[in-house]
Amino acid sequence: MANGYWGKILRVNLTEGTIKVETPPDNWYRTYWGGRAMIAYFLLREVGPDVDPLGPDNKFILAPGVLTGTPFAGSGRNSFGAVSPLTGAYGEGEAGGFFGAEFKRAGFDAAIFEGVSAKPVYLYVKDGEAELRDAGHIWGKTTGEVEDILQEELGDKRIRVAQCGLAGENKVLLSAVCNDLSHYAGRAGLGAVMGSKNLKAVVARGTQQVPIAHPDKLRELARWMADNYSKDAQELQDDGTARVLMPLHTSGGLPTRNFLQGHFEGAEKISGPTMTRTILIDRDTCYACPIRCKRVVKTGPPHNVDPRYGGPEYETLGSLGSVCGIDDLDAIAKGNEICNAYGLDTIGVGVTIAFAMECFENGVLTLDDTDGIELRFGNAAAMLQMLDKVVRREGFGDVLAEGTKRAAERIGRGAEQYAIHVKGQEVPMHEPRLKHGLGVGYALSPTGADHCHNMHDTAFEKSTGTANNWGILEPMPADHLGPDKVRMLKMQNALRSANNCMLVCQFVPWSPRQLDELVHAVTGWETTQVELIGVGNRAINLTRLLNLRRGFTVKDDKLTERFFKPFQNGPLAGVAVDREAHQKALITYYRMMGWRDDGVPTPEALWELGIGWAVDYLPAAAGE
Amino acid sequence: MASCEAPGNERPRIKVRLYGELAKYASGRGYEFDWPHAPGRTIQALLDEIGVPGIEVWMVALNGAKVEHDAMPEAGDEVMIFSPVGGG
Repeated sequence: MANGYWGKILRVNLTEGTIKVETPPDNWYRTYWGGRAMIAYFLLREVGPDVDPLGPDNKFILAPGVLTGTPFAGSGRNSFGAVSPLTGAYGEGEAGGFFGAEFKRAGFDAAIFEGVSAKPVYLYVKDGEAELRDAGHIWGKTTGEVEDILQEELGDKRIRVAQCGLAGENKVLLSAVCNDLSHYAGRAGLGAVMGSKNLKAVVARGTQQVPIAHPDKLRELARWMADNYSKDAQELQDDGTARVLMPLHTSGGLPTRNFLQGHFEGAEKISGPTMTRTILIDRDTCYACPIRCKRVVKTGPPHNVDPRYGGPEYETLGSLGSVCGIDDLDAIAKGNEICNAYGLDTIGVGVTIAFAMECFENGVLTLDDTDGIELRFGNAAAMLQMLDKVVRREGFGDVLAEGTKRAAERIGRGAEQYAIHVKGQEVPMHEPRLKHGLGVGYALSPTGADHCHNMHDTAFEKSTGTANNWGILEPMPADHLGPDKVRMLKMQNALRSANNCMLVCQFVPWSPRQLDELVHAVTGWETTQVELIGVGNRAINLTRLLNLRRGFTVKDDKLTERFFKPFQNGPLAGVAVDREAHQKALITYYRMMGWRDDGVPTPEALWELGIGWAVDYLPAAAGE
Repeated sequence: MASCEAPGNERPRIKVRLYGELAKYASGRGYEFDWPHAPGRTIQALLDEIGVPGIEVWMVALNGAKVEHDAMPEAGDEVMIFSPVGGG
């Protein structure tokens, strides 16, 4: 009997209104595990290279992993994927909360949505059954209203909802997929893919226990984390992910004013401890997790922030805060509420508004362009106004709804130099002039700039921590970019990619060895670190192939030009990414991966990972 | 580990803030606490007094500005001590 999965994948044809159940063999699950590798497998094989991301031939895939929904800290996550309308490349995001676990416990391992429904629908999954239902009455509603209406309609307060929000309906390219109102698969514009398919939501209710091979072993591991997390994650519980804001500011790596600066004079006002002391009213969590790193905030007038939508993460404090030059914590919390109620990626939209602010400051945009809004750094009211306009694609919001890359192309007049993105995806709140290996990771990422499947050099300056699980023993400075740093990056990329396949939270401080034990305890598979890194690299290679087929080349592994220019002031004054070292590091990575110098995987690299079938998907000539 | 802490408040003080996983070395004082000032004492000596292992310290700052471990805080100064940071 299979453990950790059901052997059932839903294939939902929205054009026909039909649902089929597919039953891949056990070895397929053992090869791909779930999440990223599963999504990349289906997209590479089933979505043609010229498909319009917002057209009927793109596929939207919901994929938990083999660990999702089993009882231990960090198992409450699932992935969503599609070809991204924002980047045109592989698109994927992961979110926590309770939805993923509920979906899995409803008896399915994934759902593939294809085609376009003639009218708005939602998929309702309950204990082995699945049906498409009319969503006309919830179209256009806030995420909170949708949850209320569906709970009432289905007569069950315990349903869990993933949905696209108004931004997704309006095909805003910065739209996210929302789990449970406050957990977001933010990146890649996946809400717009749902919107383009008239798929408003997926609703799950599951009462089945995911089968577990070694329940005693899993209980032991879960108990260990419950007893020990405070050693490594106490501050995460106390102050949330915002714990990193002050150290990043002090070190010069807090993205500020559209990445012109790396330190922010208002940092203390928007820091984790300040939020804890002022507007925090509770801590929220994800399925089976004792850490409770999620924020619940509430404010009085003028913003009256609704605690139902949680509270800002570090990324949001940066993207709607320091990156826009805003130090008003209540206004940032309001921005977070707007993004969550309407389904916007806080990183993408914050960096896009900051881009417009820099354009405005430099006279590239005027009041005539911005609907009369003074889009200057530090103007919190303008930021909030723009969020509403982006959600509705109203006025200038319609330009920014396209993300920085396309907005810059539309504006012209030299605006491109202010657009801070990689492959069209806005850069998150981690600074390559502080973390130089992360800059290489930004350039390489299949989804465009991303901090989740990446390495954070600053964590390895004093010791290599759990990277010693792979024999990486020597700490190295954050600004070092030699082959030894690339070795570390390669392993970190593979680990984090594997996390997104088994689906486990990266903030719960599991070591790679323990992750391997968790996979073994749940599935019963005799896995090793080799296989853990292998599944991560399978996903990296499959996503690479998908992008190559869609016309991306080594030229698109390109870090934003701004990071090659030195900071003018602050703790990192004079520091820039060394262009030559950066380029060399990219080539070193390709070679370590068994790729050619033009970034194309060799057939041998694919065979070595057990995905020889993918040789057929190599660009012409490469597979010979 | 608090053996050099003076009784009462008669001596000038400095403020210490421990960030990240270093809070465990605050011995129940919370992230922020006052500590007796000692003229000519380096931050490294301060870390030794408080009992924070150097291997766990990523960065130190004096009054908000990043400094080296040989910097010497004055009375009333604020010393920030950070553990390594990863993502967020």
